[in-house]
Amino acid sequence: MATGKEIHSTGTRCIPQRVVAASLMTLFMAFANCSNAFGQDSEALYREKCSGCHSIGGGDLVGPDLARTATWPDSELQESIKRMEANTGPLTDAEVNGLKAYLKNAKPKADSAAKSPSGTSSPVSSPGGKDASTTSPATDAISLTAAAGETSAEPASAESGRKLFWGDEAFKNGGLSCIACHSVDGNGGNMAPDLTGISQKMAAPALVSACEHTPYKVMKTAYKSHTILHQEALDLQAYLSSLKEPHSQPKKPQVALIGCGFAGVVFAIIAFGYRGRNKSARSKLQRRD
Amino acid sequence: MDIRAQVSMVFHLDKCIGCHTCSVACKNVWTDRPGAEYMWWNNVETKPGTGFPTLWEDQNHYKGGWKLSGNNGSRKLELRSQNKLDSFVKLFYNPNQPGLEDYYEPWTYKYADLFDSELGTDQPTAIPVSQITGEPVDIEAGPNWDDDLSGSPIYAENDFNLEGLSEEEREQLFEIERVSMMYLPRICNHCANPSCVASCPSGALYKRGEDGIVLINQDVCRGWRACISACPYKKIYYNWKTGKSEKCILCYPKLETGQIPNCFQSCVGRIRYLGVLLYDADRVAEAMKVPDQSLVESQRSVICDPFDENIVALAKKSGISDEFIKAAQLSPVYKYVMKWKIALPLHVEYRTMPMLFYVPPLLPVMGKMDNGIYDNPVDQFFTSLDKSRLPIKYLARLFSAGNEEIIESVMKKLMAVRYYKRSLDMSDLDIVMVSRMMREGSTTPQEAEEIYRLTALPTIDERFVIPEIQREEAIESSCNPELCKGSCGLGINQAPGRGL
Amino acid sequence: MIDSLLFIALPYLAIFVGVFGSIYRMRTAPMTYSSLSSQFLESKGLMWGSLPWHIGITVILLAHVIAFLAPGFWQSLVSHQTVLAAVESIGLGLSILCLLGLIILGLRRLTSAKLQAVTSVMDLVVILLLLLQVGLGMAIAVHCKWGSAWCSGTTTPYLWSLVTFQPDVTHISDLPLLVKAHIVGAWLFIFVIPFSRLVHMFAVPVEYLFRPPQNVVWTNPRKFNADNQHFVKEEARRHFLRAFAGIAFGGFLLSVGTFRNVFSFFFGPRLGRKEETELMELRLSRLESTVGQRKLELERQASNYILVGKLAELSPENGKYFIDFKMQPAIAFKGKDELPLLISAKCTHLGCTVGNKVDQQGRILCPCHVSYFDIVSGEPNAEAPAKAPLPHLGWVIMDERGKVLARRDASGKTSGDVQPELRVTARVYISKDQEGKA
Repeated sequence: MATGKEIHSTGTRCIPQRVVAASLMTLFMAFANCSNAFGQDSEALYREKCSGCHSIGGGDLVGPDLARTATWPDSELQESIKRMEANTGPLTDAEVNGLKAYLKNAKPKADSAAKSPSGTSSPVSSPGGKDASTTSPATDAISLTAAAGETSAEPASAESGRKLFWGDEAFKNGGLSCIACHSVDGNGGNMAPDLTGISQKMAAPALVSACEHTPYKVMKTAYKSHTILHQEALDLQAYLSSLKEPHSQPKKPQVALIGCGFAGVVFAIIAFGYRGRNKSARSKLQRRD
Repeated sequence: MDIRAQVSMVFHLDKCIGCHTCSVACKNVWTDRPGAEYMWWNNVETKPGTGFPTLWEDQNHYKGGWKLSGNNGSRKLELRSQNKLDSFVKLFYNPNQPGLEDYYEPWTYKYADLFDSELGTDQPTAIPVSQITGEPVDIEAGPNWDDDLSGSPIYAENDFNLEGLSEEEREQLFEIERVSMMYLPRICNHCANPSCVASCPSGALYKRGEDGIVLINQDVCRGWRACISACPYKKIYYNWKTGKSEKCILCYPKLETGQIPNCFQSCVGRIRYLGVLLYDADRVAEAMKVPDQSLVESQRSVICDPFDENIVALAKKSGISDEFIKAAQLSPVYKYVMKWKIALPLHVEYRTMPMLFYVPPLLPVMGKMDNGIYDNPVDQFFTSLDKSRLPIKYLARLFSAGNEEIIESVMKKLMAVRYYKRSLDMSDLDIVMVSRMMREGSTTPQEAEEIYRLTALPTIDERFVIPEIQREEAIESSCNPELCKGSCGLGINQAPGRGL
Repeated sequence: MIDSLLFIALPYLAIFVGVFGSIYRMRTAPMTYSSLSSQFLESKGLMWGSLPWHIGITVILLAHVIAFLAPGFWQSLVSHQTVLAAVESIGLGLSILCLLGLIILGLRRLTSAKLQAVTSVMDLVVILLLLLQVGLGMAIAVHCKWGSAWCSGTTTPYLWSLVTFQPDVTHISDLPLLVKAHIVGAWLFIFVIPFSRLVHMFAVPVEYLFRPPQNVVWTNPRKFNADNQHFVKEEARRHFLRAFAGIAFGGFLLSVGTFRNVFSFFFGPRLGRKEETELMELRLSRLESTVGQRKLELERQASNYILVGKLAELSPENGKYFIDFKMQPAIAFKGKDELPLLISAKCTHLGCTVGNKVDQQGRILCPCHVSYFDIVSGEPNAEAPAKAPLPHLGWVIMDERGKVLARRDASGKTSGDVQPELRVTARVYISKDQEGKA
């Protein structure tokens, strides 16, 4: 369904249909963000490209809150958006202008993050994918481009998302499991932020986009050659959205305690193993008269 | 049969006067360096005594030498100090390595104080200072701290070899005015089955094929210290300065130039003999797997007769030079060890097959006091062995792994030679009795004469029969050894240095 | 800048100095290679310091090396939560051992007069450096938890990028300062190896496991006569064993990752029915497209003209893709003169397909490496990686009955014209003879 839409939007279905489609496919594989936004809704573009790191009026995420940009001079805004090309890929002037206009006019409270429909997705096996695709055509475009080979996405499953997150299941492209750096409910790595309430801060499509494109500090390079598939991103989003209230996860392992215990045991083994070590031979000499 | 030659030694303990000249001769040439001050490649111990380092004979403590494991069918020799796997843990810390406190903290005196002290009312003194830290030390021990039975209630009484003795025998040994002792000069035994070589993780220790001298390659040694605990004689010393082990090198630079090793040459009592033995290298390990009681015999069975034509042919086939074979035939060591069988290895129960042999001392046995007169009642000449001041059992623990029969036969032969010579010179002994003694000592007048000549009247060429030996290093390229004295101790021109 | 200095220049310098310095020292002064043990002078403190330190650091270093050499294996190992927690706990325990050991070793050096006689400045530098390194490692274990998991996506690729001489700092440039300091510490550690007692780690006597107990050295040629063959055989066997062990170990480490793939091929999770169907469909469609493409190609070779489209369909902004006789993509626009403008869509840089939308400056974009091509001249913009212009294609316009109304060859020479009333029905073709000429 999404595929058809996409191809129509480029409007080139002609004689060598398949060949063109295939070459387009490679084109999009190589650069997912380039050509589809011509004349698209800037809001969709904002959600796809920006909302992974920014919010409007929702407070600072990875990047700063963009509510204040409404007052920025035009040229500065233009420059700032252009600077972000490092993270988003090239933006056409039209896209930049669209974003500029969107940012100028966006009402802080109207930010999609705040009223994200992700709440409607029920914790387990919600039709999160459908949810995302119906609300945002932009996300559809991504779904096509990133998952070029997959013609249709399975419904997102919070359970498989949980498995991916916790590393019980590996990502298809071999990326790190999230738990290495992130935590939920205080369990997990602590190099990166806790993701328990992330669905309140980021809209579902933004979350999916964030998982897929990983435009963040360390993740950018770590997943460069291990892209997270769209389906996986949908699953992760479903899982993260399901984390509303404290979740019953495996007990937090007492790493420090076990570590100290281990060290203590080794010391004990040393003391025991070498209890018969040589002390001064002279101390063995007993005086006999 | 893999015939190999070994430059081996005999120390005739009856002649040792305990003067330590050998030790000093060695020290002055080889171990007069920082890091080696405490080393005594040659030392002389008083027996009974605890020796140097303290209680070195106690292998339950130091875990030196080989132990026999397995049952009759498959006996195996294993290092007592380590096996191949736990040796890797022992690189970090060796629980059986003797520390400085088991030897002594080397010291010198602040002689300069005698001259530089300020004018005062007190006589200036030269206080002892540590040669390691340079700080004043309380001297608590030294290399021959129990010399001549000093501190005997602590040292002599704790001699490890006294353990099997009954209370009565102990009293007999230490009874006032009857107290007895002997001297035991010790150098590296240059064993045929060395446990130090087997223990060296780096493979720095090796036995020279031509003459059997055991050496440490200082360039390969990495200071893992396994050899120090593995050597049951504690004749490998750790140089705390260079971080490498060192040991007696049998003065190989001298031997290679046809000279006599320092401790041999300087020996005042002329107790030392040096010569070549041929032995069958293939049978060494097997021979060391017999029970303690038969070890001396077993070791003798490995040593080959250099006059046997088969042996000579085999030796030549193994690449032993004619000079070595000739030296083996002239060897005084072969005579003492194999022909007369009166020289015994020290602590053969360590199963390293030591190639330094001792003629046990007879004098204390002879010195039986009766009515204030030292005499030996002629009619019961051999009964005195039972009442000897140094109990046979004690000597057996030193020289025959507890086999008293061997010690007795050696003693009888030594006594027979003595009585035979007395009967010739003094004519105050009954000839019949002397010939009976000769029989019991299993010797003949001819042999007795030979023993007497080599023991009492040997020339320097008879005592030391040194063949031409392959050079270890090109000594010629080194500078004058006198110039290197105090800096470089190993016969090479490059001074041993500590790593960064 | 500082990053490339610390994480590219320093590592190469450190490895160069560490490796060649150690070899040089081994060659010129083997005597100085020693553990420089001080157990002889002081043994109790050494036991409590050296054992925990060496046990801890050996295992930890081994884990670091495995994580680096076999990242796939390592990642699959620690992806299990329990294993991860166990690895982290044991790692932390070992680092506690290391830290305590080091502190004891340091204190004993500072308090014993005898040890000070054998303590060099370098010894203290080494102890300080190691203390710092272990402390940083522990801080990472606490503040950047589960480094054993995230290392395979960050530091491991960084190290491999160094090994493959394509240094890429981006893998680690965003990591927390603690981690970066730990990495710098590691390079400094490698740097000081040849100048310190640390060389003793290269002296680990592995060969002791394989050598016979006795070691006899001959200086005369006896062995070359009597025992020559046995000796040579023995040596060869030992060399073979050593080489074999080395190769086997290296092979093992390298193949662990490969083996995991093989293993998962046979025993790994199976594809679901749906996934399998998808996969088959994908393959089928690929095959079909190959067949179609081939057919198309043949068809094209046979025909003289290929339809591009109706003249009326062409637009000045939104190009229409088509495939030319060489089976390469091209785009058709409507030019200013109301006649078609055909331009190759194969980027002259690396051959990507150029986009079909014309921007305000009349350019089309190749998205792969951002080259803008002017559609009229075909020239790329000045900054573009593409240097050559996109070639134009010739065309033929025919009416419905196949009568040629106008044509233009590849060089741009136009002949004929299309009457406005015919423009609705006229069709644009490319013709073989033009192609041939071009």
